[in-house]
Amino acid sequence: MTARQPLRFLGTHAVLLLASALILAPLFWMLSLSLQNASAAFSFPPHFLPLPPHWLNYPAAWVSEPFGRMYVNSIVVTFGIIAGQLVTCSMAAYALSRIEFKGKRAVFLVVLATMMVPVQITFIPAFLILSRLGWIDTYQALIVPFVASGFGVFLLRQAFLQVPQALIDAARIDGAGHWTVLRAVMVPLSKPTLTTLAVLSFVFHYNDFFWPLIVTNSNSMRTLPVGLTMMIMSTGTGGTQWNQLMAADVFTLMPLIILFALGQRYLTQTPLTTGIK
Amino acid sequence: MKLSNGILAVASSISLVTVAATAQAAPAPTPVTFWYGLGGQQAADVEHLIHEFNRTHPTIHVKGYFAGSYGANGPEQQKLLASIAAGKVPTVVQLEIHATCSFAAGGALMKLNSWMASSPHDKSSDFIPGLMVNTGCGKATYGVPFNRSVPILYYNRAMFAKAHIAGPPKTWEQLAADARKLTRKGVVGFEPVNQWWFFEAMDWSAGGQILNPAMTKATFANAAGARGMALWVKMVKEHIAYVHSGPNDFLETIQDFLNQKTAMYFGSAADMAFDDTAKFSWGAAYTPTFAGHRLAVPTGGANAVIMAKAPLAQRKAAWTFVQWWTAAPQTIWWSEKTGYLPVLTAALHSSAMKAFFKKNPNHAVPVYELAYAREAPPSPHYYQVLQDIQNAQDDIMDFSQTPQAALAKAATQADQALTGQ
Repeated sequence: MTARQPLRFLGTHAVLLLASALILAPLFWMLSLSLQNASAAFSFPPHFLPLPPHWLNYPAAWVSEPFGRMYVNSIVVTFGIIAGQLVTCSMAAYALSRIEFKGKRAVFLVVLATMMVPVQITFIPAFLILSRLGWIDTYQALIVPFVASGFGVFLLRQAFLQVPQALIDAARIDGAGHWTVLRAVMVPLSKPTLTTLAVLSFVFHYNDFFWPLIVTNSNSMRTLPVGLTMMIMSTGTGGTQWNQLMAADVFTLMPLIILFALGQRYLTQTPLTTGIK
Repeated sequence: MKLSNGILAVASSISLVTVAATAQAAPAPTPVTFWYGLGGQQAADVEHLIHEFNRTHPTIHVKGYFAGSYGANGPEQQKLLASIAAGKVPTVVQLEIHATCSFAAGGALMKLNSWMASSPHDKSSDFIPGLMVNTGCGKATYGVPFNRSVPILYYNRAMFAKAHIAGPPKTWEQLAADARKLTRKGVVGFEPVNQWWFFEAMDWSAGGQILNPAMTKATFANAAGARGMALWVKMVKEHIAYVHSGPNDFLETIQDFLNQKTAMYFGSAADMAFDDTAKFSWGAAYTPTFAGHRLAVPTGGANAVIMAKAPLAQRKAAWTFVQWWTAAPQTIWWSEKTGYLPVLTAALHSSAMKAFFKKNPNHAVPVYELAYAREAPPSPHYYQVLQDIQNAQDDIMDFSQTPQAALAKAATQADQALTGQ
């Protein structure tokens, strides 16, 4: 046993190290290129270490497109969507998991079905609605279509089903209504799932390129992914400043990395299985 | 009663003042919304020209918007579809040439024939002849050449001299023989980009056609269609050619040329500004043809189109803008900056352009190659056909299918698209 354990430890860590290296290699290359000169992306053999580092790529990238404004837009839009989703999804999930009503199963199936329809099918009708509302090129167009999410409802419903009925009954005996049960029992006990939804939603909407491109025209309403593509010249022609683009990638990725560092402990927390003794 | 009268009096005096003020001020410039699909330095060049236009035309104000990449079926076209459906269209759009007829067939684009006929320098006959291909459907013209290119064979002069090859190959047979001589350790003779645009060139230059004249049937699955692909496969298996795959294949090919890992590559005239950064002497040559066949090349890039649903005053203002853009000083500036072709014959004959070509003879090659330009079939279903061809090319180059078999399968699928099944 004692003899086998170090071997197992080494084996596990060798695999983990290899996997980490594979995942980190592109990130390292991005970071390295962001500090090299413009032709570094094409030099062969490649220079892996950015020596001496070209720090000026960062300010150059920052001013190449209105990234300051785009940063604000991305943050406002993504947090707006997440806030909306957490509210609407938890309410829908509560109804679908804890309230009996006619047609409940059918409603849940319709919610699930929305997850199967790709955006390419829905974007024109959605655009038409926003256009009639006069919302094109506004924050509303970027946020409102996403404040409800079939996936979010599904995820939270499954989490709410895990909450023991006895806890809810106890709350009801103490005089709690549906709102109080949702706020004081369901939400606190489903924090890991709510965090998971927030993180997944953040990654998806922070990265989304297609929708912001379709519903915005002016640079002052655009988000970071649109800004990044604006730095790429037409396909095939070359001439893109890859070092500056990588620098822009680095500062675009930063919020995601920070968010992951902060949210990690919620993500790895064991889901609730018991709450009563 | 008195109060409401008072309000009315105040309101009418305000409106009188407003009317008087409006009458005195200069009329507001006519707004023109221009969607383009280029990024990076090219977008900066576009914005520079827009700025120059606005500065010299006080009665018009053009505002440019990046609308996503203009490439075939790219995000710009999806954005345009949504705006057409909502009835809120831009005024003028940089549109990929193969899409001209698809959008025109739905009534979205304005027919430009009569405006062009009365234009001082944008008559059809004013443009370099090969550039008027894929600007419309049949006799109706909907697009004005904007940023256009042709396929070009690039070659490394030093490597050619070292292998004692006098000049670039004119035929595919010669290209294969040269590639064999040029290949050495760490260097392949030739790298094609495995995209449909180059298939068009090879099929046509082997005597083939992509579609029948009625555009109802695919006609590329035959000996002419398979000939180029079969040659590429043979060269790759012989290790005298290399083909990149994946989303960056075009860029990786150019990169290999700049790093002197390939002696020749088959690319676009639009690469030229980038190739100018090479640290060695290189040449641009015509696309090769097959022995005994006349060269025929597709053109690429985008046209400027004016949206039919935009208000007339804005369309007229947009037309002023388009004519200004194509005029000699601007088209020369654009061409020198980007490597895209100048569009007017008058520009070619200008002393500025002549001086530029004398200094940069490679840049003149695509212009002369335009004499061999052929129109891609202006079918609204052509994108689907090209996608089927692209799938076949991918299957051929990963050796999972023979050229004949892959193209036959693609033709069956293309036929379904063409007949709307």
